[in-house]
This record gives sequence, structure tokens and C-alpha cells, in this order.
Amino acid sequence: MNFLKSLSFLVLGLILQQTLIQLISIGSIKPDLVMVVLVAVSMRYGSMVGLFSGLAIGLVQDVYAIDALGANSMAKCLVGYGTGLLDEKVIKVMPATKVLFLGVAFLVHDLVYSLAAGFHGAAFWNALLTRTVPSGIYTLLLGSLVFYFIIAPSRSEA
Amino acid sequence: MSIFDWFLRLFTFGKGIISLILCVVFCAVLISLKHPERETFHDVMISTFLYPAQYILSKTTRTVMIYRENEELKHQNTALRLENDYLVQAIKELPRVQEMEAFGARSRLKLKMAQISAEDPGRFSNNWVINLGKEDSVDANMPVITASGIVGKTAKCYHSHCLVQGLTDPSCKVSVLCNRTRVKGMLEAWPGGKLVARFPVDGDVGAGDTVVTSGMGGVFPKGLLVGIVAGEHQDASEGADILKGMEIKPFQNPHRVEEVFVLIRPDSWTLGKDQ
Repeated sequence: MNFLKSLSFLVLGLILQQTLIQLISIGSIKPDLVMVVLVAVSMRYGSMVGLFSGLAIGLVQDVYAIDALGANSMAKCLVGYGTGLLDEKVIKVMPATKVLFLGVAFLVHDLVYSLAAGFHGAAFWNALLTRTVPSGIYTLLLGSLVFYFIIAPSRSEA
Repeated sequence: MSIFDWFLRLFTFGKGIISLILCVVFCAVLISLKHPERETFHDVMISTFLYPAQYILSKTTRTVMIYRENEELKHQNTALRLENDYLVQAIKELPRVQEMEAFGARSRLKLKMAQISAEDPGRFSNNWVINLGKEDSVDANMPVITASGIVGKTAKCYHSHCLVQGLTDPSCKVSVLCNRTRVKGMLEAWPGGKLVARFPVDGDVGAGDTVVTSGMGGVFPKGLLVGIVAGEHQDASEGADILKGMEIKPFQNPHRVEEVFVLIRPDSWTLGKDQ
């Protein structure tokens, strides 16, 4: 059940990524809402849900990248599993910690993706500097908004 | 223990480490696929799962885009319509302006052309605001005319605009002259816009006579066209035994005025200045 909920959030995130996020992108730099949702649901529902949710949404994204098939799914299932270890049901996680984990998760995701997709040498560093760093900063800003103003208030109300 | 429970325990063993290993292996297999196999995988995934979802998504995006485009086109359409209206007005205005400029050149009077920028909405008076003022050397009590005849006089003057009192305003009175018999009279307006000129009861004035300004009032110079006598005006007002009223049809229809001339008064002409 948690897996279906998590998948629903991720699909919604993917739809918003394709529509609303395009409107707030700065050139080719845009925040990764799917990553924010993946980190949030993994922390919420645990590592197993995070692992399979990451795999599923990664596979969906892989379909669009014929040359990097499997790279997204590997990166996302590792991120989902890793952030799921910080299970909110077991330990209380502050929003600031979540933002910090989001940053680490984003970096790990892009590193795994770049290696799995076969980037090496200059291409690897170029992708890291021109895509990962600016998009990561933008994603952290978006993640802060989500963690502080959407998820945290709804929890306190509940 | 059923086989389902056995698999569940296996997959969740050690915080799901077995599941993680299986997933990583699966992804590694995907990464290691050769190009033709990858294409097969893509074809199956796209045609089975993603195409329907993508179709709905693209429809949504397209609807949003069309909505935004529509908003933009509405703005453009309004701007173009305004521009078109402005150009149509300019085209219609051109012959009138040319005619008035020709009149100004012919008459050798010191005339200043003005546009009517506002009109009195009242039913009983016919006053306008024109876009000339003191900065254009226009002052109160200056004749306002068109190529067809007089239409009024400036009543109050401000820095860049002034009020024009039309002939059909009941408080506007003009000294006139029958062009044929040179009988003098006084032109005034009746409520409702009718123009009536009062002549001596024995004055030889009849229908069809042209009426011009007499130059006696101190505002209008002598000889400016006013209108034509349409017929006798029947009324029982005071002084009917010594004056007779003649209805005047003005040469310039006061309801069809858009551009006017202000006749700039010479400095020596001081009569009526302080009225």
C-alpha cells in the first residue's frame, strides 16, 4: 500500500516535472522535483519502498534515454534505499536534515548516473559542473520549500 | 510458512539488502544490454505503458500552451484593433483637415486649428473643450469658426485648453446682419438648440436670406457666415410688437463639428475682452 502511495506521489512529481517545472527553469537549469519526492517518500515509508519506488520511476525515466538504459533506475534505487535508511518512523528527522540529505542524495544520484551512463574524463567533469551543481542548488531551494512549508506543516496538523 | 512469506522474508532480510542487490543486478543487466536489445526494451515500454500517459500529458501541456497563446493573441488583437481604429479616424479626418487648411489660407485671417477634445453631454447647451489654450495665444471671447461658418466663441481659457460656447447655448448672443437688406438683428438660441434671429418688425428679412455677423458685438468680425433664414419663428415673447423672430438654419451643423478654427484677435481689438 505504501509502495502504491509512494509511486502515485512520484508519478505526480514526474508530471509536474514535465509541466510546471519547465516554466520555472532557468535556461537548461531546472530543479529535479522527482528527486525531492523520492527522498521525501523514502524517508517517510522506509528503505524497501524507497528502493522499489526509485527503481520504478528510474525505469520510466530510462525509457526516454536509449543510450543510458538502466542508469537512472540504478541511481534512483540506490538513492531511494539510502535515504530510506533514515526512516522517519524510527528517528525524528528535522527539515534541515532532510535538505542536507537531499543534497547528498542528489550528488550521489548524479555520480552513479554519470558512471553508469559511461561518462568519463572531461565529459564527467563537464556534466558535474554544468548540470549537477547548478541544478543541485536549484533543487535544494525547491526541496527546502517542500520540506519546510508543505510537508512539515501537514505533519504538525496531523 | 507459505512460499509468499518465504520470499517476503528473503526480500526484507537485513533491511532489504537482498532486494537492493537484486535491483542493482537488474539495473546492471539493463546497462549491459546491447543496442538491438535496448531498442526492443524501449519499444515494449513505450508502446505498452508510456505512450498513453505521455499522450494525456502532452494534451494537458498543449492545452496550457494554447491558453497562454490565446491570451497573448487577445492582447495583440486589441492593440491592432486600436491601431486600426486610430488609422481609420486619421483617414476620415484628412479631407476635413485639408479643407479647413485651404479655408485658412484663402481667408487670410489669423486662424488656429483645434480639435474638439470633449463635448458637453447636456441636452440644452452645445459647448466643447478644444485643445488650444493660453499657451497658443488663445483668449476668452475669440470667434470659433469652421470653413462653413461660425460655431461659437471661446468662453473660458486655460493653459492648454479652453471652453467653447456654441451658438446653440441659450446664453450666447451674436449680433447679425441680413446680407441682402443689411438689416441688423440679434441671434440667440432657444432651449432645444433652435437658432432664432430677432429683427425689427418692419425689417425686410425673409426665408432664404443669408445671415452674417454684423461686427457690432465686439467678438465676431463683420461678414462671417452664420446661416440661412428658414422661416418666421412664432412666439409670444415680450417685444413681439417691435421685433420679429426668424428661424436660422446654421451653415455649420453644430452636431457635426470635429475640428474648428479659433480666429486670433488682433491686439488692438479689445472690445469684449473683459466680458
